Amino acid sequence: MIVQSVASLIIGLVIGYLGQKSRTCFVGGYRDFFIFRNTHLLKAVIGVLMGALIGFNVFRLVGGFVPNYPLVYNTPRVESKMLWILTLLSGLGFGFFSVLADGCPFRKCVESGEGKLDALMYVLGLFLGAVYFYLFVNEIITFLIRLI
Amino acid sequence: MRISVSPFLTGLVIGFLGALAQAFLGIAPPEAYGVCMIGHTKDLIGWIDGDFILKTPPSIETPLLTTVGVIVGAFISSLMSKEFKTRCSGKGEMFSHLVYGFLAMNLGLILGGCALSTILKVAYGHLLAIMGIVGVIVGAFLGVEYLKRS
Repeated sequence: MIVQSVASLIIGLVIGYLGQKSRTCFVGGYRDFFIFRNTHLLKAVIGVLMGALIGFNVFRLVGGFVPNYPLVYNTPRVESKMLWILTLLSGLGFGFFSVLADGCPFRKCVESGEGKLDALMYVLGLFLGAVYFYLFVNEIITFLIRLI
Repeated sequence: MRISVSPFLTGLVIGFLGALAQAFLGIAPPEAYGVCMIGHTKDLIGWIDGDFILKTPPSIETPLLTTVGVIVGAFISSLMSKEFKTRCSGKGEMFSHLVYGFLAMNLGLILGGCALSTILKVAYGHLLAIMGIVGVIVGAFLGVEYLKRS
């Protein structure tokens, strides 16, 4: 449906606007804490947690689509041990390279809107990465998950 | 026009809109998928490609324009506060950012989302996302240590 496209565009506009004003970065929060013990950006992480918890609980009561809400007891695909290992390793790599790139994907998209050409190259890298993943990596990952 | 917005407020709005997107706007099939810079970019690429070469699993039929929205939103915001300025820190830096983006997409697709949507998933109670966010935090720590030493 066209609703999802329009909704995601409007949500993107709003959070892009706010993200540019506040310089929010979700890896930057951890980075600043480890370097300077500065919790200014880390508050954004707390904010997302609180906003999402309030949102999911309120919308579930109002009758929105929030299936199996506390997903702790029925998370899909937890039985695969390999998926746990892959999640941890990819998380490690994601955090590491986001610190090297000086921002999470959200921050980089905001910076490319501000006119930073490096960040625009990062977004291009995201597009190329998606193409590469589905051409070559996806089958390997599916195979590994079936393994153990 | 200068308005100051705190990161906490931004986070609160992102979390709330992410929940709203799933609950009432139909951006759903994976749980807590309301806002995700990795997943929505992947869906946009998959939609452009159609069924041509990539064979991406279509989680949602129509393209999700969050990435476009964020870039345009930040563009509008920086124009309004007169902060928009085309700048670039050299060819080597541009190439390394291309590689970082490439790696972020591949690792993010295995992780199941970006740093932002992993937090949304933790709020949803997703066990693997809790593992993932531990990985991201430890990875950020390792990155900081690496930068200190180089």
